[in-house]
Amino acid sequence: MNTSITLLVVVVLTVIGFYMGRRQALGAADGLPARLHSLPSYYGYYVAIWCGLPTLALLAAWLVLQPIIIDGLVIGSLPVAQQNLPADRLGLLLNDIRNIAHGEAASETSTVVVAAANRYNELTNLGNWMLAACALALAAAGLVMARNRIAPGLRARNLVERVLMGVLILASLLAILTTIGIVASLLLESIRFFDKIPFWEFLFGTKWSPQTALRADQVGQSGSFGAIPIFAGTALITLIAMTVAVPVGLFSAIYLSEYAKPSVRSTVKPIMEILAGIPTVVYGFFAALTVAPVIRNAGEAIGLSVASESALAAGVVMGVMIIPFVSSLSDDVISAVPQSLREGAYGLGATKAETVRNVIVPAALPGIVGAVLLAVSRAIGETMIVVMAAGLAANLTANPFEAVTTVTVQIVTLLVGDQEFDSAKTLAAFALGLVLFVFTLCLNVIALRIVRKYRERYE
Amino acid sequence: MNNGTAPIAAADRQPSAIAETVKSGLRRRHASELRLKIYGLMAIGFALVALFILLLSVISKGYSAFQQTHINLEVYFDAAKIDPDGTRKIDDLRRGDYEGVARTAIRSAFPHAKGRRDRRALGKMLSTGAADKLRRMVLSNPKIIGTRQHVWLLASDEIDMLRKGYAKRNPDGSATKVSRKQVAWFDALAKKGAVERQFNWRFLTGGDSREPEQAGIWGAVVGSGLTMLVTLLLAFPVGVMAAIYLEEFAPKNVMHHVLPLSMPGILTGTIIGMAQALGETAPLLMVGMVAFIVDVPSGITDAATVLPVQVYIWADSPERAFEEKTAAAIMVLLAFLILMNAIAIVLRKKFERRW
Amino acid sequence: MEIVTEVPTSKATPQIQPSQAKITSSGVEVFYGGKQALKAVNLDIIENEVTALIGPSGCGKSTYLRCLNRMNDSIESCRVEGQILLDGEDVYSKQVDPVQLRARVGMVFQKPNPFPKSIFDNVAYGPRIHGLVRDKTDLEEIVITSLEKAGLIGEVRDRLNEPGTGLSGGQQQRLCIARAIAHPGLAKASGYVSLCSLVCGVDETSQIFTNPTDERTQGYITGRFG
Repeated sequence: MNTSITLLVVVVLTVIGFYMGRRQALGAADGLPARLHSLPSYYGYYVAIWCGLPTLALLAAWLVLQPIIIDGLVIGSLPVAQQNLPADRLGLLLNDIRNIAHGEAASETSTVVVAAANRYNELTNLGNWMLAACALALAAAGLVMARNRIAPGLRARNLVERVLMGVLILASLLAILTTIGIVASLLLESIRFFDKIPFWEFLFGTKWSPQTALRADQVGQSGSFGAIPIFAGTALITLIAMTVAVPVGLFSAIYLSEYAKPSVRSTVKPIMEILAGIPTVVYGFFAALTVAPVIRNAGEAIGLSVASESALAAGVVMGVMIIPFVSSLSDDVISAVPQSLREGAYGLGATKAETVRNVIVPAALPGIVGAVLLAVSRAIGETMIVVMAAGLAANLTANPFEAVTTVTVQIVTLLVGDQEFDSAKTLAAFALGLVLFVFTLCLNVIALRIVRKYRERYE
Repeated sequence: MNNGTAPIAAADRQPSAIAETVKSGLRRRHASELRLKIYGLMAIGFALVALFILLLSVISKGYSAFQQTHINLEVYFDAAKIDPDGTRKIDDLRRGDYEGVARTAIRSAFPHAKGRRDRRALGKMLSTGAADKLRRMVLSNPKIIGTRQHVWLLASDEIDMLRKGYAKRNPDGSATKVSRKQVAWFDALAKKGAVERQFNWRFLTGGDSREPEQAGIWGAVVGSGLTMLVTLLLAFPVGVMAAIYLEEFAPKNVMHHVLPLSMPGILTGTIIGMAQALGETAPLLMVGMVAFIVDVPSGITDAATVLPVQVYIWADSPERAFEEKTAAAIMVLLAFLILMNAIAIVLRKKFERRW
Repeated sequence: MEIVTEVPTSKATPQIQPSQAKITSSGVEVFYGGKQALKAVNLDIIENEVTALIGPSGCGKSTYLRCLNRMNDSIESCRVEGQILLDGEDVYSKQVDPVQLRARVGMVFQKPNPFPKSIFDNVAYGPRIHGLVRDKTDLEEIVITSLEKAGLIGEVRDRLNEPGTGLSGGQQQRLCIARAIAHPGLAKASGYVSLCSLVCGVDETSQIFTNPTDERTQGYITGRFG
C-alpha cells in the first residue's frame, strides 16, 4: 500500500472523527449545546486530534526510520565479502541496489546486486503494508477511545487549545532553531578555518589568493587569506552605491513629502518602488552589459583606463537599486515629523526650503541616519549585482575605475563548484560569511535602535 | 545671513527698515526654495530615468530574441543518407544523417565553393537545429524521402547575429565571427529572398541549449512554476488551518471583521512574497542550482532550473547571441512579476471594495 | 459663528491714542473640503489693543487666526473666502508673499512646538532667516530681550545651548513665545504689527500679552478665558 494513500486515509478518518465527535457531543447533551462544557465543534476537534495526531507522528517517525532499517537488513543479507567493504564503497553499492530497485540505471548489475535489489523491494513493500496497518489501527483506536470519552462535562476546549498552543510554539521554535543553526554552522566552520589560518592574518592581511595546492608537490600555491582587499573592495562599492542612493533617495523623499501634490505622490511613489521589486539578477545584467560598457567607453573617450568590470558600474547600479529603500524609509521618518514643527517655522515666515533644512531634516536626522545604515547593510550583503558585474581579482585600491571584489562575490566563488569541504579555501567562505553576518547584524541593530528611539520621541 | 542691504541692529529697528530688509532677502530665499525643489525633481527624475533606461535596455536588447533567422534552401531528401538500408522503419529513419542532408542542401546552393574549408564554412552557417527539423519532417511524412523540397532551415547563431546587425561588418568584407566568404554567401542568399526572420517559437516552448539559436525559456518557466507550486502547497495548509481556527474558535466578530479585513493583506502579502522569491537568485547559486538542464521538467522531483538562474547562466555565456536571449529571459521574468503584482493589486482592490 | 469678541482695552494705557483698525475682516468664510468651518466673520482688530477671541474648543478661533497670516495655505483642502485687510492691504491678494506677510504677522501655537535646536537658536530663528541680524552681539541682545519678555530668561540663562525640546511643557510654551517676540515683526517699537497668539492654559503668558507697555496689536485667544 502506498504511503500517500495511507496518509490520505488517515486524513479522511480524522475528518470523519471531527463530525462524529461533534454529533456525539450534541447527542450526549440531548441537542442542547448549552449543557456542554465546550462548544460542540471542540468535541469534534478533540476526536480529530486523538485520531490524527498520534497517527501522523507515527507516520513521520516510520518514514524516517524505515530506510535505515531496510538498508541495514539489505546489507545484512549481502554476502560477507560485500559486507566487509569499506564504508564509501558500501555506500556506492547500496546506491546501485536502490537504483535497480527503482528501475533506474546502475553502474553494477551483478546477480548479487539484483538479488539485493529484489530483497530491498520486498522489504519496502512489507514495510509500507505494516505502516498502513499500524497507522490505521492507531487512528481507529484513537477515534474509538476519544468517542467513548465524550461526555457533556469533558473539557474538550482545554485540550484543543493546548494542542494548538503546542503547534504554534513548535512553529516559532522552528524559526528560531533555523536561525541558531545558521549561526552555529557559520561559527563552527569559521573556527575550523581559524585553526588553519590565524585570525589576525585573516582580518588584517593584505594579500588574498585563496588558491590552495591540490597536490602537495605543486609550487607557489600555498594560498593566502588576508581579507583586507576584499573588505576594501566591499567598502568602495558600498560607498559608490551610497553616493548615488543617499542624495537621490533623500531629495526624492523631501520632494515627495513636502512639495508633491497627493496625486503626484501616489503615482510617483509606487513607480519608484518598482526599482525595489526588480530582481537583482536583472540589475546584474544591466550593470554588466549596459552600464559597464558605457562607463568604459566614456572613460576611454577622455583618456582614462577603465576596467571592464569597474567598481563604478557595479556601485552605481547597486545605488539605483537602493534608491527606493532610502527614499521610502526617509519618507516615513520625514512624514513622522509633527506638523506643528512645520507650522512653527512657517508661522515665523520661513520658506518651505528653510523649514526643510533647519527644522525637518534635523528633526528627522536620527531616522534618516537609521535608514542610511539599513541601506548600507543591504548594499554590503547584495550578491548578484557584484557577482555579475564586479571582478574576482582582490585589488587593494580606491580607484573606482579598477576592478575590485567583494565579500559576497568571494563567498559565491569559493563555494560554487566542486570543492572539498575541509580545505582552507572552502572554509574561508564561512569566515567571510561570519564577518558579513556580524557586521550587518551590528549595523541593523544600531539602525533599528536609532529609528526606534526617534519614533519614541514623537509619539 | 547677509543679503545685500546692511542688516540693522535690533536697537534701531524701524518698521520700514525691517520691512525693507525682509523684502530684499526674499528673492534670494525664493531662489533657494526653487533650488531645493529642482534638486528633488532631479532626484525623482534620476530614479525614473534609471528605471526607464533599465527597462529600455532590456527590451531593446531582448526583443530580437523573439525572432530567429532562417534560410530557405532546396533540400534533397536523399534516401542514401536518410535510410541507407531502405527499411523505412521509424527507428532507422530516426538515425538518418540529417546533418549531412542539411549540409548538402546549403552546399548545393553554392556549387562554386569547392575547397574543404569552404564547404565546412558553408555547413557552419546552419544550426544543428536544421537537422532536427528535417528529421521531424521525414518522421511525420516518410514519403518525402527522395523528393526535393524548399525548406526554411534554422541558421547558426553567428549568421543570426549578422542578420540582426549585431555582428559588426569589417572593411575587409568579413564580420564578427563570420568569415568574408560566409558574409558573401549570406548576402547572396539574402538578395534571393532566402533569408528571413521568423517568430522564435522554440524560445518560448523549448528547454535550454548550448546553441543560442536553439535555447528556450520554457524549462525555466516550468521550473519556476513548480517551485512556486511547492511553496504554495507548503504554505496552503497553514493558511487553511488559520482560517479554520478563526472560524471555529474565535468570537464571531473576529470571523466577521478581523479575517475579512486581514485577508487582503494576507493574500497580497503571500503573492508579493512569492514574487520576490521568484526573482531570488543568490541562494540558488549557493545550493548549486546552476545546472545546465535541457529537458523541461515534468514533476517536482525532476532536475529543474528557474528563471533568474537561467538569466544568470545565459548572462555568463560568452556567445554574443546569448545576450539577446538573456534580455528576453528577463522580459519573461519581469512579465511574470508584473502579472503576480497585478493579481495582488486586483485582489486587494476587490476586497477593499467589499469591506 | 460663536466667536465672542471682546475688546478689553487695557486699563493702564493712558498714553496710547485710540487708533483705527489694524486688521479688518469682512465676510470671512473657511471651508475644509466640503465642510464649512467659519461663517461670515466680520471683525476689526484695533492697533495697540488686546483682542481676545473666546469660545468653546472647536468653534473656529484658531481657524480664524490662521487666516490672518495665511497659515491655511499649507492645507490642501482648505479654502478661504471673504476679505482680510492688513493696513488696508488685502492679505489674500496675489501680490502678497506669504513669507513676507508672516514676517509681519507672528504666531504662537496652542501646543508648544520648539524646534530640535538649542534654546538660543530657537529664539534666534526668526531674525536669522529674515536676515535681520547684523552681528553676534546684536543677535544675543535680541535673544536675551525676547527671553526676558517671555519670562523665561531666569530659568535658562545658563543653558542657552541646550536643546529646546528638553524644557518642561510650560517652559517650552514660553520659549515659543520668546521665539515669536524675537520675530522681526515684533521687534521693539514696530507698532504696525500684529501678533496672533494661541495660548491655552499658560497663565504667565496672559500677563505678557496684556502688558500695556507693549505697543503692539495683539490677537490673543484662549479656550478657557473667563
